[in-house]
Formats: sequence, structure tokens, C-alpha cells
Amino acid sequence: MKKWIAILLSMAMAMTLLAGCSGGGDETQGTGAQGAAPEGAVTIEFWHSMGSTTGELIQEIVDEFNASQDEVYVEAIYQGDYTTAGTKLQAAVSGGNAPHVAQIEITRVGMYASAGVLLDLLPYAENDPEFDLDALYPGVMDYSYYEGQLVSLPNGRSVPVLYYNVDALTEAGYDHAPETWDEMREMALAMTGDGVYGYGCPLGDSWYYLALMLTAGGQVYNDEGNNIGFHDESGTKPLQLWLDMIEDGSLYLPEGDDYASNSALRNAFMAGVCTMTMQSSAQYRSLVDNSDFEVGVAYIPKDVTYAAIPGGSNLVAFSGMSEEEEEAVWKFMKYMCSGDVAGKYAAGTGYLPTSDAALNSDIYQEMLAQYPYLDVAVEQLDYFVEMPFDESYTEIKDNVVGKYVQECIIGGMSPEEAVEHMYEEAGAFYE
Amino acid sequence: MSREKTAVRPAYGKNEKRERLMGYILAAPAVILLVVFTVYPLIYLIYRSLFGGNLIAKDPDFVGIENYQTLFESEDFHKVLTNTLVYTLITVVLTIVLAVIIASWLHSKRNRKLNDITQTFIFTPHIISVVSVSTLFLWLMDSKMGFLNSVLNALGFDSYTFLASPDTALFSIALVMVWKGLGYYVLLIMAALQNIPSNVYEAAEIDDTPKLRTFFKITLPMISPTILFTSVVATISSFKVFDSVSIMTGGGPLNSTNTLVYYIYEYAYRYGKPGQACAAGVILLIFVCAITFLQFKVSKKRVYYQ
Repeated sequence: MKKWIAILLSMAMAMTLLAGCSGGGDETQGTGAQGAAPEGAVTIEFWHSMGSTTGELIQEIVDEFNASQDEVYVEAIYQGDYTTAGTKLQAAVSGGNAPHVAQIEITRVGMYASAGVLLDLLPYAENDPEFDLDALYPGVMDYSYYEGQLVSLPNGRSVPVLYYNVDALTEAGYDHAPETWDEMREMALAMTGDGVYGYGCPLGDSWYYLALMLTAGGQVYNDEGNNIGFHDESGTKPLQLWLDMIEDGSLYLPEGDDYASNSALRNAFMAGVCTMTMQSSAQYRSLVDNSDFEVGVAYIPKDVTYAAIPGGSNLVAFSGMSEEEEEAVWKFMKYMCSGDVAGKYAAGTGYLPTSDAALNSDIYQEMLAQYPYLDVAVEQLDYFVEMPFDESYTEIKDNVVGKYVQECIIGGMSPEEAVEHMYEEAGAFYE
Repeated sequence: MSREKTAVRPAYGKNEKRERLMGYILAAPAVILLVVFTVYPLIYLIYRSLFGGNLIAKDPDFVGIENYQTLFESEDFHKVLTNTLVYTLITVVLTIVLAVIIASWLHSKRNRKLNDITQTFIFTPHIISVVSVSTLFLWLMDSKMGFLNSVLNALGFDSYTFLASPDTALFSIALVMVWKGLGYYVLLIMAALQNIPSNVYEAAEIDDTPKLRTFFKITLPMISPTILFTSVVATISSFKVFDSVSIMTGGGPLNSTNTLVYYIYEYAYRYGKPGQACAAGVILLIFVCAITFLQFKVSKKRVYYQ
């Protein structure tokens, strides 16, 4: 009897160990893939970073692709957010187990391109009569060319936009979104009080600091490309704005870092705790669907000029495949970039349509009728700033810019000092 | 392990030889696994820490000890080391002290129904995954909308900043992890308490020894081997803290909760510098070895083995 109990117990313990191991594995399963590969079809593995409703949309698009023909079968696998997926992808590529196609956050494309592991899509793009490379908006092709090779195609591209609680703004006596920083500060203050904050911003993600800095007339890189391009007023002004708003009591700072601070902020916005916020345009549908007030979208308010910092993800394919697989991959990538599919993806999320064909697709136009602010971000395409491939970008963005933004806002450093530190430390990366 | 040596080495019979061989065969799977999953990665870790390049580059260049130099010169890394040490100190001390107090209390009330319930409640957090606990506390500890602060406010206290301020974030994470791990350590110490022979206590009772004195002079020395074990286990596990940091703060605000393992992760995968990450890994290894060694050394005199 005792022996049996011991065996049972040790088995139970072994099970918990196994459960611990498989915890990470479960989430990498396909989100409800339907059917199996038809006989003779080339199977393509596609890694993406879209969870919840956007993930379901990707699966739907992939399922439609699989159903539309029987030569290629795509298996879509969710690999966690950009950071997590980036981790897995690096490990997979270095271990020689790269998927065929992957969705990569744009600033990471350069790392793979310089390591020479990406497939050059240019021969396919040029020789395929069904594909028109020039139809894609130039604004979203910024991370596509590397040393003359076409290494990636635009997929879920986004810009930061200003979301506002239309009801709260109306109640405070305003009938339009803020267009300038001064207006934003004034309106935020008017909506603040009684546990409600007029404006929220995630300090943990310096994408938004850069977005404001651009509207103050700065550049991400200087002209020589060897340091930050906001070692002047444009760098200090956003910090001063936030400090002023903290003094007003109108700035809501979410906790957590990176993507966690963003989701905390969105929760606060949907709960009505903060009434204006900067977030990625891709969040539009989800914010509208989960809020019980009207959600408005506007450009990031300007100080001296409108500007948009690119964000989101591109599709890449990895080199080293058989010719058969390459052709299958191209078919899939071409499909993802086609007007109707890109339009459907943009309509379902708030990501940018990547071409006129996508913008004018029926599904996008229909959705526009229901979600009137869906295309605000599209107009910002004209203000896209160019960003070079830079391997140090993430480290500088997080560890230098992000660090001194926090030093200033919660650490008490003056804006001038903070920007001076950014300049010194970022410069060291390019020596 | 006995170190006794017999003066004359006996000749092994056939049977004994077989037995010895059997021993090696039985140990082989464990040893092979250890070599493949621990020894080889360890050697590769040290080897890789001498190279630059990113994770996917084909031929990383040899840079010697440059990665270590970068680490030692980096203010951020100093901060990371301090954070790790402070975090470990807080968690280990709090865990051991609380575990001993709670275990003693539970032990003294061991025949009551309340005891079973309390024991279950204290143990439950241990079986929940760190990820769930961290996500839960991220919300509970929110400085503006969190449950903990509304309780504090209702009781007439000021709000506490918890994870929002660089001064309190590390302590807040430590608190969560202590809460989570406590049940496990209480269980271990309870087991030790139950093993103390009752005649020692009876002798103390006859001498009319005060309760506090009994605790310090009898109970504590008798459970000291277990306390040593728990403190070593707790130290190593707090040195390796990662999940909670990753979920609750991402190392922020102001790098105040950035710990060694999180730093290693960020440099390996986020910033694409595996060389530097491996160098930090080697430093982690040295630290853990040194502290464990020290703990055994120092406590050798103070631990009483029956």
C-alpha cells in the first residue's frame, strides 16, 4: 500500500515537472489551424507575433490562402510578442531551424539582413507579372531594401497616434482633438480630476518620446548618422512637456516596462481613467471594441511640425530553402501583400493599408464607414521619417534614450542634462 | 559518504566486480544528462564569453576579455549586481525568519483544525506559476488603481508607490516572491521541527527553562541543518530571479529592479550581444558558487548535526 502511494506521488511530481516544461510550448501551437496539408503541397512554416483577435485574423487569412489553392500549405504559428518572438527566432536561426517566413519587428530586420540569412525577394518581385512592387506605398518600404536586396515586405505597419475619449472631451467643452502640444496640455488639464487623468504615456517605451521629439523638429539620427539627432531643444521639449503635465496633475504614468506599460495604459484608457493617450494605430479596433465611450483618433499633436515614426512589422523569408520552397514562400508573401488581403488585415486591426489597392479594397472601405477614424494613421504616411538600418537601435532606444527619459521624469534630472547624457552615451556606440 | 579506508585492499570477487559495474551503469544516464545539459553548456558559456558578434552571425570575432571589461566599466552593470545582492538579502532573510516563526507557531498548534487550513493557505502560492502571481500582483500593486492601495487608503494610510518608484520597486518584487515561496520553506522547517526528539524538551521543562530560551538554545540549534539548507536553496533561487522581474517591471523604473538573469536575457536576445550576456553569465556562476561555498564554510561552526 505504502509503496503504491510513493509511486503515485513520484508520478505526480514528474507530471508537474513535465507540465512546467510544456508551459512555454503550449502557446506556440497554431491558433486553431484548420485541416491538414493537401497531398503534394509544399508546407511553409510562418511565425508571427500577433495574439488575441489579431492572431485570429492572421489565422483566418492563412486559412483562406490554404483553401484558395492546393500547391502551398501554410502553417501559422504564434510565437509571442515582438521581443519573445525575436528571442525564439534568433535561437532558431542560429540553430539552423529557421521557419520559412516570419513576421519581424522592423528595427530588427537589419540584424538578420547583415548576417546574410534573409532571402532576396527582388528576382521574384521583378519577374512576377502579377506583382507590382511600385504599388506599395514608398513610406512603408523603408525597411525593405538592404544593400540592393529586397529583404522584407511591409505587413503590419503602424504609427503612433493620439487616442482620445470623445465623451470626456465633449464634457470638458471641446469639440475637436488637440492639434498642438499647448492645446493638448490645456485639454488634458480640463479633463483631469476625481481620479481621472487627462493624458497618459508609457515611459517604458521610448517610441513615444521619439514620436513627440520628431514633432518638435528633431531627427532620430544626426546628419552624419553617428549620434542622436535631437541634441537640442527638440530633445528637451517633450520632457519639459511631461514634467509640466505632471505638475498639472494631468499625466498618467502606467507601471511596467516596454509592452507591459503599453497594455497597462490601454486598460486605463478603456476604463476611463485616462482620457487621452498615445498608442500604436494598430490598437484602434481593439480600443473601440472594448470601450463603452466613443474613441477618437488624431495625429500626434505637433509642436512645430507633424511627423510620424515608423513602427510595426515586416515579413521576411529565410535563405537556404529549396527552389520549390522559395517559390511557395513567394506565393504566400505575394498573397499577404495583395490589396484585398492587406486591406482585410488593416481593416481588422488599424495597421496601415500598404497600397492604394488595400486602401480602396471593399473590406477596408466598409470598415471605414463603421470606424470613421481608421484611416487617420494612413494620412500620417506622408510624414514618415526615414530610419537607417542600425544594429544598435534597440539598445540605444531602451538603454540610453529610455533610461534618461526615466531619469528625467521620475529621477529628477533636468531635461537638458538628460539629453546631454543621451548624446554622450549614444555617441559611444558609433565610435 | 564515508571516508574510512581499510588498511588492506581486499581483492574483488567476481560478484563484487559485477556489482561495481552495475553501479556505473545505473549512474550513467544521470551522468550523461549532466554532461550534456550542464557541463558542456558551462564550458561553452565560458568559451562564448570571449567572442563578440550577435547570435545569428556566422563567425563571431574573438575579442578576449573585452566583454568582461565592458561589464566592469558599465555603471548599469554595477547597479544590476547591487540590485541582485540587495534582492537576495531581502528575500532570504525575510523568508527564513518568517518561515521559522510561522513553522514554530504551526508546530505548537499542530493538533488543531485551524493548523491544517493555515498550512494549506500558506502552501498554495507555491504551486501557482510565477507568471500568474506576477500578473496578479502587477494589478494589486498598481499605485493608482490597485487593490492594496485602496485598502491602505481605507485604513487611513497614504498610498504606497510599490512598483512605480525606483525606491520601492525592488522591495515590492521581493515581497511578492517571499509570499510565493514561503509555504515551501515553512513545510521544510515544520518537518525539521517534528524530528526534534521530545526528550530534549522534557529535560528543558524539568529545568523550568523559559520558552524563549528553549527556542534559542534548543529548537534553533536542532533545526539549524534545515535552516542552512533552506537558506542555500533560497539564495540560489533568488539569484536567478527572472520571471517576476520580466513581467512586473521589465527591470525598471530606472533600472532599479534589473537583476543579473534579466540583464543576461536582455543582452542575449534584445540587444543581440550574446558575448556580453555570456560574460555576465560567468559572473553569475562565480557569485553563486562563492556564496554557496561561503554559506557552508561560515555555518559549519554554527550548524549542529545530530
